[in-house]
Amino acid sequence: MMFPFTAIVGQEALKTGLIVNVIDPGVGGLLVMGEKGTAKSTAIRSLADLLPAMTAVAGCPYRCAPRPQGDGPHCDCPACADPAGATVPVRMRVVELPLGITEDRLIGTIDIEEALQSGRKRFERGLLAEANRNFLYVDEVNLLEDHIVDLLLDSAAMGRNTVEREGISVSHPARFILVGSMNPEEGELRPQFLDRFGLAVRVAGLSDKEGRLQILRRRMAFDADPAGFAKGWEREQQALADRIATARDRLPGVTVPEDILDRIVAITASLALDGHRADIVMVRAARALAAFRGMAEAGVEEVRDIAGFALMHRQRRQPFEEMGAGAGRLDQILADTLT
Amino acid sequence: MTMLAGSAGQEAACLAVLLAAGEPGLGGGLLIGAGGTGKSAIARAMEGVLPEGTPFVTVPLHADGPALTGAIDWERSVAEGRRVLRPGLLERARGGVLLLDDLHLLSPETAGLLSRAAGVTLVATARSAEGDLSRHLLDRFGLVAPMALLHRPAERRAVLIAALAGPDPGAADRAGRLVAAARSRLLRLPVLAPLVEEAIAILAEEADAEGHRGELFLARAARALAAWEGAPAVTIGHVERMAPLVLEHRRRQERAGETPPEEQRDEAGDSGASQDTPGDGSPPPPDGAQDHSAGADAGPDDHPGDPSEGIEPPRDGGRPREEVMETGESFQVRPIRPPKDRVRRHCQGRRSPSAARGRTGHVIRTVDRGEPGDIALMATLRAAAPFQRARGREGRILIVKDDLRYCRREGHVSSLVLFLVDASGSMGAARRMVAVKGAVRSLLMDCYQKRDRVALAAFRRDDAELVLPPTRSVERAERRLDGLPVGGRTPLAAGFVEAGRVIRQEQRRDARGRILLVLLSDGRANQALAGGQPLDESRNAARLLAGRPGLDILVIDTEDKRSFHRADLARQLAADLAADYVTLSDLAAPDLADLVRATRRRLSFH
Repeated sequence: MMFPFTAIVGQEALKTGLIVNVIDPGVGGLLVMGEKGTAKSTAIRSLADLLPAMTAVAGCPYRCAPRPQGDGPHCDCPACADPAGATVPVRMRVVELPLGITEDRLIGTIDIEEALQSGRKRFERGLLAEANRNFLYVDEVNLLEDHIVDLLLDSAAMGRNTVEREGISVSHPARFILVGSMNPEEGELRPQFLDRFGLAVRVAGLSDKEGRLQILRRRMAFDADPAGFAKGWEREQQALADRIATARDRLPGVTVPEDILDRIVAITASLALDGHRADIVMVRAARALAAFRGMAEAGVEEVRDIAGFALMHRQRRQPFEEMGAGAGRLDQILADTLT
Repeated sequence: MTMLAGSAGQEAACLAVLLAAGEPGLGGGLLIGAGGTGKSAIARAMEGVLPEGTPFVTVPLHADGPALTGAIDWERSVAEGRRVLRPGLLERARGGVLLLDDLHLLSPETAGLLSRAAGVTLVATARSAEGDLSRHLLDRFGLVAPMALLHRPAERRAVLIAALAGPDPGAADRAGRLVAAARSRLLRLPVLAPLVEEAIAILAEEADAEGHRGELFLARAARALAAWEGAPAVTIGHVERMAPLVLEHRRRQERAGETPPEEQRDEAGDSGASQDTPGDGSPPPPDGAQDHSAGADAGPDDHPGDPSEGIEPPRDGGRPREEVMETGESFQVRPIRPPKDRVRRHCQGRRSPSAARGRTGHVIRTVDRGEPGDIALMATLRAAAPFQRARGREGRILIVKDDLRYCRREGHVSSLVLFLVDASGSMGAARRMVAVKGAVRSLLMDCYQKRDRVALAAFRRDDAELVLPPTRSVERAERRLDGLPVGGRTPLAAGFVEAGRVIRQEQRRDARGRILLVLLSDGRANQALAGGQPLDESRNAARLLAGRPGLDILVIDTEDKRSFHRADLARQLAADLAADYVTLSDLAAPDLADLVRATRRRLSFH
């Protein structure tokens, strides 16, 4: 039994960051910065638990969407090739990437047992295959080995995993929502990795007594009777699930007015950013947020609400300056641009 | 020209890709720039403009030697009872294009293989300020194009709108037809006029390009441009426009360090140094080593009293000889990578290459004999495959002892980086200490990214002091650095003695560890340790450190090389220490993208 997403106290930034990614996976993932014990992992798992099932091609090892739905690239498995193939509902899962993972396990490799038993090549799928159409969660992503991060981000950017090793050539879809957590005190990510995460949010424990008390009470109630507790939140859970589903349907029709684009580029121009990821992410995230709020177009409010998430980890910094140290300047720019 | 996806505002990159598609003789193109500027999108868009049937093969980051060059196809070997080879990626791309994203992340082995690859066009992307691309590999690319930095709102808007709209297949088709037309025009272009040939030779000579590939590529590039534009013949204009893309990455290393002073990377981190160069209105140089802007009006640095040097008067007024100077602008340092030695280590970190122990590091190759237990299964299988029939296999693969292959691993290890800083009064002259602190901070950043431990020792007045014992906290090192005062005489020998003490202590703690001693000094000494000649003493102390196993030394010469009092003592000292030597101004990594951009502007290329 999963702690209900809607019963999580506070952490609005984290929740918004996740929901926006679920509505539009093109936002490009979420980096969660903060101390341990701030419900990061719980929030992701419980959100995945709440989401309605997706449709997948029956028997496809990568859970590809049936072709007419067009959801991204397909694999070359026989099930996907069959236009009359059956479909099955699948739930979105959280696939966790362990810190000590090897390259083989991540991208997949030859099935060595099969090779020795029968002398035949067979591809043993890796974690990236499992992650397709799921969340890929990396706890303490800053402690991951650099070359593993390189491989991970390469696939995340391409939406595909291409394997060329031991005489095997395989390419399969690997579209996932990458969620990384890190405690900045334990070492940073290289700036170029940071840039690859669509959004970043900072989480902190609640400091007020009321909030702490509420967390404690809900947790105790859940531990004492998980099913009963979940039942008490059923309506909220269903309402959120419906709202997300509606937002996804509405997303393609949500527009971003010209003046909003102007404001977005004015913000990134004032920050003198070299790359353009922040601009694109801001548009997509603002649009997803507008869809979630039931609006037909993204407005200044939406940009204001997500700008910090899109920019915190991309601002130029002095060496050793903490991430978010330029928050004052950013606030000023936002205030100037979004009035 | 926005006919390639993601190419809004990126004329140079776009042109490089289109010309490389139209003229295989160019060997390909490399796009260099910051993250998120659309390098990959443009490189990938090349696939759409190639003639139909041209191979376009992507090299994944994990590709190793066998994946590139091919290896035994063990499946068929088992089945057929003989060695059957399977072509690698290079073979599959023959006559076409091999795409490499993030070239700087490829292993040196893979990069080496690629630089020798023949019969394919290489198209690659790389970040300008990360890693070091070998010159050998760079030489392989006919064209190297920097990604433009688009900072103006209107430019960013165009990029954003194009990105949101996604690739336009119609535009790719049109570009494909143009490439095909350019290819056929290329065949009909007349030979180069003598004047044009001469222009090529002059430009190549001016660029001081290594070897003669530059001229050849420049000729081909100019022809390709003329064909692309439908010109009846190649003109000097074509040559001049292509020169930056062809020649900049072939400049000899020494020249590469120089960046024209008007080329400023950005305004971030503007230090106080420029305010101290009266009459010099130019901004500080991008490499952060302040001596460019200190330039002609900076006097000899052993005359600290001379007001013409623009020395800031002591701020507190009370203690004229002791001062804490601010930390100068930081910059990306050039790669500092102590060479591989013979010790096997657990490989964690990023500083120096090392043979690996246990299961750490990457398998670089497989060998007949190795660490027991670390068997390379696939290599073993490949070795056994051809003999399966002869051995009478029916079910499982039959493996005998002679088939066994083992992993040979290599990785990177971090170091303890011990900074030994001259903080004597002479460092206050012409505010050298500001630049030195900026350099140390830049090195600290590098240490941070390479997961090194750091320690900081300084010598000044009459002794040396370990300001910060070995720690992982680079932030603490930075704070201590900021607070480090300058003043007094120069007890260099005492500095070496202190460094020796720290090094011995560290090696007792971890006998296999690597230590990098970074000395920042002009090599002068004027305070003896035991009453002898200060300079002799320090040279003798230096020799005690030289050649110590596990210890590498880098001397960063802080002397102002334009000063007419220059003595080049640090260079001698580096020889005594058997150390690597670099001047403060050469410590900054040359940024290839910046260089190309700068030249392009000079030649008003567009």
